[in-house]
Amino acid sequence: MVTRVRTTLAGMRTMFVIWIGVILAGLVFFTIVGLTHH
Amino acid sequence: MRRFVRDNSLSIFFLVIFLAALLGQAIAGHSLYNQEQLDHGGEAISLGRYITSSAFGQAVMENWQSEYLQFMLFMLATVWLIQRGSPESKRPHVKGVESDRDQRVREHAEADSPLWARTGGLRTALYSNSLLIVMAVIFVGAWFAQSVTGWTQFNEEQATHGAPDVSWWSYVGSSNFWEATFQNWQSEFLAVGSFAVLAVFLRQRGSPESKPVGAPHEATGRAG
Repeated sequence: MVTRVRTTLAGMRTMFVIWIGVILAGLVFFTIVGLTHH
Repeated sequence: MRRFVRDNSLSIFFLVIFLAALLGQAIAGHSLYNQEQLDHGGEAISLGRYITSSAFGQAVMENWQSEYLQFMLFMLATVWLIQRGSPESKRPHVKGVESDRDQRVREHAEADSPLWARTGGLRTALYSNSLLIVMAVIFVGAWFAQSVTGWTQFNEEQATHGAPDVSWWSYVGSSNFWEATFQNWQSEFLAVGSFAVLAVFLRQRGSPESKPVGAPHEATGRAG
């Protein structure tokens, strides 16, 4: 039971990290694009 | 793996359609950009070059910032403001930031509460507003990215007309920047405001965004 809760939490944490990663990547990428006058 | 997909199907679904829509925007935007270039005697560019262009960046970032502003404002406004009958609203008597007991923080935290809800002090204060803080950081970041990509694009247009470059400060005070900003804000405020009030009288069976179908119109809050 405890293992199952941990696995579920790990999956939710994975999705959290993926979404934050996608957003940060987008923000950083386009900020650099703008600032380097591309 | 199957359980991972089932447990996270909502966020996986939206991640997939987000990436598909972004790709669609890149392909259609690239085609339009090249048509305009050729119409004005310019040269066509590759899809890769378009994706790393300020034209694409501005189009993406101006939509991102308005979405996060919408969520942020809605979250903040629903702490204090009420829409009677809406599933998006709190009940009138619980408005405000609520007591520590209601929020299960500090000495009222439970065994499975997050650590920072238990500690008290600065950590609990920060964690109590962490969703709003992160939304605000993304909003400001995307709005800044919109400003720098818009600025670069604006100066490119200036150059094609033989006009001088403008500074970033001049650009963020320009009607070009504010038109793109307000254009996105108005649609977000319309959607979120109308949703809060439409959901007073209308229902979607099975959705947590709606009250139960049989809930009375005057019932406020998720549970109806």
